[in-house]
Amino acid sequence: MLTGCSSHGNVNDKAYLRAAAIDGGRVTFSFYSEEDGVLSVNAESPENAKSAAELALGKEIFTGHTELVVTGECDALKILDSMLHEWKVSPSCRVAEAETSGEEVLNQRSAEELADVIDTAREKGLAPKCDIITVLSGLLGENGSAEVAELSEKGFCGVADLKR
Amino acid sequence: MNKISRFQFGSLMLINDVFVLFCLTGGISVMTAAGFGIGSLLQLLIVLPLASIYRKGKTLKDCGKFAELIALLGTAVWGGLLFSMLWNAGELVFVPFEGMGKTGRLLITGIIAVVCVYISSSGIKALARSAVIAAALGLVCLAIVVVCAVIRSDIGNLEAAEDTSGLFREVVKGFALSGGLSGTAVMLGFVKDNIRAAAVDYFVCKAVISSIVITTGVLVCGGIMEITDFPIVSAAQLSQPFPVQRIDSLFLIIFTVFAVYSIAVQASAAEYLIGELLPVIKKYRCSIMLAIMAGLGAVFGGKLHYGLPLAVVFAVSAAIIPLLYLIKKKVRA
Repeated sequence: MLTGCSSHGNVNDKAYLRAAAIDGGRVTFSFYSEEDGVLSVNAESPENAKSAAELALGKEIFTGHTELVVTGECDALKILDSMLHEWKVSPSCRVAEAETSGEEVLNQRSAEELADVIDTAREKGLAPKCDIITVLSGLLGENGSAEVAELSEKGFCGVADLKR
Repeated sequence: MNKISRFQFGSLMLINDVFVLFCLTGGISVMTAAGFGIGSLLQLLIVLPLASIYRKGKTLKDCGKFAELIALLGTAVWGGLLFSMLWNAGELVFVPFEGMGKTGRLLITGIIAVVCVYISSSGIKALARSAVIAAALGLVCLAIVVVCAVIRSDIGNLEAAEDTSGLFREVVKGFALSGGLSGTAVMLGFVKDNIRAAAVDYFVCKAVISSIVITTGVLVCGGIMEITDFPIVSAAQLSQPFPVQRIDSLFLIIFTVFAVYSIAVQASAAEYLIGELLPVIKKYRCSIMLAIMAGLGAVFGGKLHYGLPLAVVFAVSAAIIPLLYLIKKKVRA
């Protein structure tokens, strides 16, 4: 009962988030299941966006397995803090910046491909370590900035400097 | 006879200390690890005179009713503080019930209290025996968290988590979070042999484990300490054995088990003391004490300031017991 198996129903009743993109007041969700697809909503905060997306999908969204967060025009520290503590994303969740629009990136490429692109760039020494904890540590550090992979519809396109 | 071995005594007490570390709030640094380590060794100096009294075959009863009353108040207040810590940390730990808000937290806290009644009702010996298994389980979990943290940690986090309070304040904080000293004083009386060695072993282990756990917390959360409310809980949640594997559920089990034992130890100690002080109460002593502790926990409520006043109260409440024994002895002489 304490592990929460009793009241949370069937796994099929949930949508499992794989990637999210935040462009100002617009949040885009990409799910593991192709059936749930990619969904964009307008909201002031990630928590409100999640509620709006749940209403649109008609099922609860589980965010604990999120693999990728793509930031656009937003307060990166506030957004990532909220995702770590409220969405409870995995500490190994990658953070990237969109060259133009995160929504476009998630609409054009699958979340799985984007995660692989970042991992490959990292293996080749082209992208920095950009898990959410490392990025938050950088943003909270003296410099108030962190290097992350930059993504476009074509994939990895360089390194961006995320500011606090 | 409710006699326990020194190993069982150490397990019972260490579970309480590790649970307190789980509930630790605010920023921590390497200085905190040093402060808690030094604080534990100072606590040993406070408890050693009592261990010497017990070694002579005396009991807490020989220290007088007033000493027993102080110990009872100490265990009751600490039990209340444990409930308060459980309530606050539940905000972060009780993930499956977070959607239910306060009702969910109240439900889990209530279940833990009921399990405490059950586990305490079987007596101190049974509690101590099972505590060894719980402590071993906790040790395995702790080892996994520490290893994962060390592998994945950034040594720069030790510097990133700057110390802002100084060693003295951290030692004081360690004392303020060691309210279990009254319970320790009671439980030490149940150790069957090598009482001084039991006390030494326990406090040295406490110093080592506290330092390791806090340093691990700094290694994992040092960079994000500014936005971390419960650093040790967060460290356990953020440590991943494998990239896609999380150990939240393992930690959740350990947290809950340790919460049960921590409160049950205080309830058992209080049950024994109330039996000595008020022998007319023959039934439901443990349930009564748990209800009082839960009530005190509700009164303490929010995040308490574990500062100098609380540290002095806990240190004096433990140190005064051997003093009362000496005074009683002199009066008799």
